[in-house]
Amino acid sequence: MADTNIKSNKPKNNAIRQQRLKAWQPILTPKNVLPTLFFIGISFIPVGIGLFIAAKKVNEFTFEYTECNKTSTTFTPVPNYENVKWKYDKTQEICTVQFEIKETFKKPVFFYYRLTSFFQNHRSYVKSYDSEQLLKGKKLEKLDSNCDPFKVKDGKQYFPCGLIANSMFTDVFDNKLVKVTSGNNNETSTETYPLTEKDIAWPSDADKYGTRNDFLKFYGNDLSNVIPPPNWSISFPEYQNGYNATNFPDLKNWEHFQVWMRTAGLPNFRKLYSKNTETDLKPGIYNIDIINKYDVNRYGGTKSFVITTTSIIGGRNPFLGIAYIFVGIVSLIFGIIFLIRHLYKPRKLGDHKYLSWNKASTTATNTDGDDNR
Amino acid sequence: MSNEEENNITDITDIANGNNENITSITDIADIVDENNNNENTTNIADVVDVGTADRNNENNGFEEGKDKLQLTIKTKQNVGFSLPDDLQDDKKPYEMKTEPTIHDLSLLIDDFSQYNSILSLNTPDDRKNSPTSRLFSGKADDDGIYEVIFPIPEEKLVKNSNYIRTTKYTIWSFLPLNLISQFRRLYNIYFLFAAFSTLTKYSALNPFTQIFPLLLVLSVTALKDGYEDYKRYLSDKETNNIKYSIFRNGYVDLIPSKDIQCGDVVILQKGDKIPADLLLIGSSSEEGTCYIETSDLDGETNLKRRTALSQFSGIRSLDELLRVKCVIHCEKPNDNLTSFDGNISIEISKKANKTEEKQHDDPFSQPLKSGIQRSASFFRRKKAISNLKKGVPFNMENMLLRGSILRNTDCIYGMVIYSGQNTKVYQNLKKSGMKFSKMEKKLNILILYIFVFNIAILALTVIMNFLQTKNDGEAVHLDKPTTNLTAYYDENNRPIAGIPQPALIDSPHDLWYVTEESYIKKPDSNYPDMIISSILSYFALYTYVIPISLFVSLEIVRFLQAFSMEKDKKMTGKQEIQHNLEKTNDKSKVVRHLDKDPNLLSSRASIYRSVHKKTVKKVEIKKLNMKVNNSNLNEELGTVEYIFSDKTGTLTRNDMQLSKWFVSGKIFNRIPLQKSLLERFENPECSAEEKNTIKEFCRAVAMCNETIPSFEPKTYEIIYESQSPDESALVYGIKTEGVNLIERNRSSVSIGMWGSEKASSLRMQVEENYEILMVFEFNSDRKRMSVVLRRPDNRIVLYCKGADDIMFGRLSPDPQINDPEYIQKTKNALKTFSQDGLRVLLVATKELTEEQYDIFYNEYYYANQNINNRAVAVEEVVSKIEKDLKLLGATAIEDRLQDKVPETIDYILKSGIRFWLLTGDKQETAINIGTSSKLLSKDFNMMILNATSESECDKKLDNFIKTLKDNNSWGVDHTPKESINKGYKKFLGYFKKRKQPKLDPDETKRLEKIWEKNALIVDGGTLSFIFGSTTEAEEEAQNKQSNNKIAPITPDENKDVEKKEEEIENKGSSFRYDQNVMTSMQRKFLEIGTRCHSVICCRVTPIQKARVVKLVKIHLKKTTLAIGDGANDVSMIKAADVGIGIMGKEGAQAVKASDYAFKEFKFLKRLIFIHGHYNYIRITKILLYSFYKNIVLIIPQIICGFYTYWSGTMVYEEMFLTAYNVLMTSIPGPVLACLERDLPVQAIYNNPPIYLETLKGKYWNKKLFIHWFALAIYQGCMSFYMVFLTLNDSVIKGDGKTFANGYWGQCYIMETVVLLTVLVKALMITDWMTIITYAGIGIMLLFHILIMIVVNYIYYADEGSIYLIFQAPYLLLMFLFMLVVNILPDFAILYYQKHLYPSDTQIILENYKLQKKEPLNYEESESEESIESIESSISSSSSYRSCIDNEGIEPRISMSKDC
Repeated sequence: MADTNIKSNKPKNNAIRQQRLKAWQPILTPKNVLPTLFFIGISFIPVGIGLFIAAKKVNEFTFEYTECNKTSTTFTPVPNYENVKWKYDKTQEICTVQFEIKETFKKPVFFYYRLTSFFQNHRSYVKSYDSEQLLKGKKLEKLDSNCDPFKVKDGKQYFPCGLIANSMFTDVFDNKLVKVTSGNNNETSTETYPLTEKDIAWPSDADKYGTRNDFLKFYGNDLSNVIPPPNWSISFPEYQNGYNATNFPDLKNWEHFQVWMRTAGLPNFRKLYSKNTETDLKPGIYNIDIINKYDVNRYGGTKSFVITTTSIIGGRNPFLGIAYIFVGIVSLIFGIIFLIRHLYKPRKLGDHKYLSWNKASTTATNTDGDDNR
Repeated sequence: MSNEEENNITDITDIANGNNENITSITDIADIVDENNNNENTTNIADVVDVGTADRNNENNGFEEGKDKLQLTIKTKQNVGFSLPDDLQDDKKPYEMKTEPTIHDLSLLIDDFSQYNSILSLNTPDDRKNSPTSRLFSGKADDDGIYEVIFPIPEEKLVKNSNYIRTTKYTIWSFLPLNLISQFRRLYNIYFLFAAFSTLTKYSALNPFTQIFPLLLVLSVTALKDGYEDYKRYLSDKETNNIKYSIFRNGYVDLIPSKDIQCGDVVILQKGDKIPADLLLIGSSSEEGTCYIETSDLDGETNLKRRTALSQFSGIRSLDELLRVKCVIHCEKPNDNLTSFDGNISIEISKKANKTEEKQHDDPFSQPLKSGIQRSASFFRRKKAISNLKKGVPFNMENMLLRGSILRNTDCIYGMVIYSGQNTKVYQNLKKSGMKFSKMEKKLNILILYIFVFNIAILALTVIMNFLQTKNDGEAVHLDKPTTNLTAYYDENNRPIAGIPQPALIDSPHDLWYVTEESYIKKPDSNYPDMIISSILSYFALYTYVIPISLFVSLEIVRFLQAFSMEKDKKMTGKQEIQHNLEKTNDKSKVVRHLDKDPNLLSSRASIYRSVHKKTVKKVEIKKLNMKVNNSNLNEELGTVEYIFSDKTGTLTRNDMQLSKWFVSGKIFNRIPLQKSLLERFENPECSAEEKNTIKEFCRAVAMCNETIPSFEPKTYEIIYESQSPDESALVYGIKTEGVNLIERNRSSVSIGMWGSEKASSLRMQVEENYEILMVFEFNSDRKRMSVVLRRPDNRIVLYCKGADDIMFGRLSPDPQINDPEYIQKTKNALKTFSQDGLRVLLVATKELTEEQYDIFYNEYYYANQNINNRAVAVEEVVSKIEKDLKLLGATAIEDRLQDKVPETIDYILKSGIRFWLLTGDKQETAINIGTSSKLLSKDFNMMILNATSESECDKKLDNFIKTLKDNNSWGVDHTPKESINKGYKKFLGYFKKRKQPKLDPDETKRLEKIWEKNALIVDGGTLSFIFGSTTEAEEEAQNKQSNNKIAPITPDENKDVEKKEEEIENKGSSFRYDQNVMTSMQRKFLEIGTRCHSVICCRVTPIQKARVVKLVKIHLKKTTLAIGDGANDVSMIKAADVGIGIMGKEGAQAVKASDYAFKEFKFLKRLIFIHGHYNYIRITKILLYSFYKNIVLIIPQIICGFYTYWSGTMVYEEMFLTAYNVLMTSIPGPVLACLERDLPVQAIYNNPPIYLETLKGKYWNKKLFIHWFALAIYQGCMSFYMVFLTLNDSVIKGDGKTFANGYWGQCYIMETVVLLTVLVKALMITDWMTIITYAGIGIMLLFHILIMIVVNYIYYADEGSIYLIFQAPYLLLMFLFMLVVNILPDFAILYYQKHLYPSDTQIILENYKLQKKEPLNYEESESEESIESIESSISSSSSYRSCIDNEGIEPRISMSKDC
């Protein structure tokens, strides 16, 4: 009697709208959990052992020379260190450390300085630089306020401005280790182990800094309005009287500076100073001269140098290996406990009699029975 | 003024003088008029009205004085051009014809006119300026609550945009400020705003961007959402406001946009037009001045409603005639009541058009049509019309067309605008009542409070540490402070062990010279407060990350998506048949100038006849009715329902009424299709004359005592009955099968086809009987009855009444002559049988009225009707006077079938452990019967039937039930607290006292549960009124308001009062004031028994009782309640419950509008709460816990980092990461989880109903769970930091010797990656239902992370290239793997321990399900057998409710011949 027209006003019938997407609904059963736990255990322990061994294989010599300036002018043994002697030349502020390398350090050998309790991650420190100034120079008035308090002084801008540059590590390590031929303390030979200070920064870091010419171009030859950071004037003899066209820092080629500028995330850190990729470091007794200018006592830190080799996983840090082994063992223990529990008192999967309301019914009938009696 | 007219007036005066009764107000009016004529225009028109009204009450007073002044009044009128229609003079008959108090009417007429005079005399602009009345003009309400509309509109009152409806919250200019204000009303936004401000200070550790960006993002997402919603509203506003309408204003016809329509305009509407404002119907092209409207947009009711033009206007048939009309309308102030309206109109119709006519002369149409004048004259001839013409003819909703409804079945109407724009009822109804919020919201707030405390704690810790650090300059709290046992840090060769924090040999004091300059060092000794403030400022913003900023936005999004997926669920889509005939659209430019003869009328009567024979194309549309989410805040509340309260009719049943049985003359008749059992009985020779008479009267009563409108199906010539109530049409359809047809009904008469004479040959021939309708008293739920007063063809007056049995028995005549007691008893027995079959019963009764009786009644009724403010009550009083001493004719029983799958659904609900309470207005037997057929009850149930006639009896019975339960050892512990009053300090103390009640062991609880499953309580409404008292809804409302306003703490005095009240309740009981917060002892007993029953049936309950039962459970048991219903009587219950559900049934949309969720059929409830509700609950709890978890994981390394960064506020993450963490990096997994997560497949839930309530036992939201999550977050946070710290500290991570992972930025990236990976893996771990979207979401998050790292690395900072170098390092990759295992392993073990060794029910069911189905889960349900059959059945069931088309004017006899 009437035309029936079924209008399709109904909801769209697609999988997303009707929530019919294929789904994976994992359930935890002994069949999948126990193997997982055992697998983690079994695979983690060897990895851990491997890492541990790799870390152990790394040769490393660390010496803290913070107190070097308090020692005598002749070689004296250092307390707590075996076979290490040091002396200090007060006039030249040179600390000489004599130490023994017991095993061959396979190349490449890296030489680091290491600072502790130095908060390079301090909030006001971390960003205290001006990247544009470092790349090509910058007008005083445009300098980033992050550079405070070492941004400007008496209308002259600090170059490089900021806390990081100012606090640059200024101790100088000799670019060679001098081998002592015999046990005699004073006899040195000409045999040295050279260390190069080239290619210690990341290649990408160099891109962030300008050359001396770049800066001179920007600031012109009149450098009276550009002054070195206060600490530089003290630590670097060449900057005592400020900048001139010849001593102006050539940041792009000053790799120590670049390494320093890459701030550390934790208060104890090491930074690469030099390296030797050519030859192995043979066992023996070596001397190294350090020009000791950097004051760590003021902030309560220490300074050390580290001579180390590396493995594929980096330096000598056994932590990860130990952690792997530990986690592997824990996982195995979990697995074993669950396995025992499962063998001892297995539960039938999906058995409806375990349902709380089914359990209740049995209890209920029991109680009823009791009542009847 | 012509002599003729003068004569008129004199006539009236004469008549008035002749009868010295009733004329009262004349005096006063005359005085006023007098004053007005003396230009003392101070009288307020409202006063005039008041005087008029007041005086009516003091009738018979002081007519003598008034008599003199009457003359004066008349004289003054002459000046103004007052007139009566000329016919009045010629034909005085009408005044005498009908009723005696003609004179009275006329006197009213006079004072009416005199009032007009006073108004019109003010009607010059000069006057109005000085007059206080001016504020009354044109649709303004004055302070006394009277609203006035004047026609024609005074010209200077014309305004634009008066009908502009703005539903938008904002305008372009106000959007930003208003939206921001509303957003910052939320506390957490202010919190984050403060954080953002703190970053602007130089102290803050954070870049302002990191704080402002997420806040802006969150604010703008919300603003966008609000803005979009508002824009949609604006568009629809704009559309509706610009629809053009033809209006007639001050003599001109104009086509203007809807927004410019103003009060007093006459709107010309044609068929199918939407009504643009609230109109008073003044003329209709239909003969009786009626029209039909569809109000589905207003109240959702699709059936047609009839509206009647005010009879005083029925003379107005053309626009031109309107020129002669002046009227003033007084009515109630704009309000939101859609069902009632009281107004008062004073009309003056002059012979000559008033001043505006002059303008009209150029218009060819303006020639007053002779016929029109004649018509208006004939109108005066009509007795009823004239009898109503007096000061303030009342009019009501019957005469009103509300904005938003649509004109149907009527060609053209004129309507006068009463309310426009914001005054319209629709607009007033826009005010939304307060939204409900889920209980989860409260729990969330508590959780936030905890988190906030945590936030303050870490802030305090940090500030103190920072303070000490700075004060002692590192000495006091330096982690690396030398220890006495140095050897711990050295290996066997006395070399320091790399990787372990090296003790620093600190000489104190020392300074961080590399950080500060000499001048920069603030010696804190002098400036502690400053230091602390700066320190708080620096960390405050950083630690706001503990609270997930995006939580609230993502919750909103999640709720929206959940609502979306519910609405789009085709398994919850009901079918509704919608039929509409193709009506021509109207050409708006053609204005119907004359209602009878205008060529523009779409269809004249003739064309309707033609259309009967034409094939009209009808479209039957089967509309899929999706479920509707009105309030998505309650999505998760659906998963926690413990009590369901359901209505019966229309909710459990189809509301598809059919008359199935009736009881007449001591016999029960069954309706058998195609068989006329009643007629057979009638034909039976055994049938006595008296019985025959009863049967005939019964048929007449059933056929006529209703408000059904017959119309014709044009193709089949079948009669279709349209009615506002399905019961009524069921009755009429039912009696039609007996050969008694309702043929025609209009305002004044009703025709039925009745059996012919008693001669057998003619018996089956129908004879038409015409009755004049004198009065109709409508049905409403309070009266529970309706009656009509008719004048039989033989001029006798008869009253037919039908109504609910409980009301009707009391109204029957006790005289045994009229009602044989035996017969009544038989009827009662029959009713019992009926209701046992679950039928709805109505009694039919009659009463003969003498003319005198009728006249007396008419007068009383008439005066009662004059009451403006209290009309309903007054009328009710009068009407109930006549509806008594009735003679019982018989009873009808209407069957209402159960909806599809109702028993299954209820069965499932009961199995799940949810308590199901049925609250119905039906009889007890009916209710029990429905209960049985819907599996709510079964025979082995322990039914406790509570019927009491007095309060003490009720109390005793309750005690008995309790005793029985206790004797059976099935009582358990009390559920409700003993102290019924917990207020003020007592409540406070209650916090410490609570949890004292003894707890049963779970086994005992379960045993009891089993017993209780078999308990049922059945209460009837009368008994409930003893339990709850019987205040009306309005009183309760007022009380609620009062109690809300009462904020002041309770003084001891008041406390005493409360105690006294309690005593009173205990002792006297009956006189107590209902207070929903106070539980009486009887209520407690009722509740205690109720909780021990799985189903409770309350029958004969009023809407307010329904709400009270719901509130009792909600407030005192503190359980989540759900109420489901379909009709207006369920609204209060729906609003009272935690979750209200409306059924989109046949009873209109009020329930749907009040509800939070609405759907078509009851069976969807199962899917809504057990599937969607259950899932949503799990989803919301998971996303909430996860959101907080991920932020705690984020913040823990940051706190620890303080130890290694000199508490300087250095961030352990890179700033962009922090910024994006909440709004980007972890934004997807949560919402994905919250949209897709499901603990079990649908089918598994369907197979295991009890699983639903298991979730409520705190599986997903409890303190243990919080602690677990919190501990996990702390563990993972600590691990993340220390593992990274230990692996990176003082080390090299690559063989090239220069790659230090502990470069600051590199370390940030590593830390970020570790935290993010952990958090994302955890998101996977808590997901039980992993889909491709889950994986994709996590993938996208990682991608974001990498992208942001790259972007930051290259663009933002000078740490170029470090991510390459870092992420190539095998050492680091091994570390990431390790980190994941370390972070996840304990959680994994605990999860396995819980899930496998102590499996939850969910786990067992899942395992069971998985073992049955080896393949990956698909969304498959066996539920999908919704066959075509059910579609068909739904069509056929609704076919009788098709909207009628073109039903006017078709000769009823056409169909009758076919039918008989």
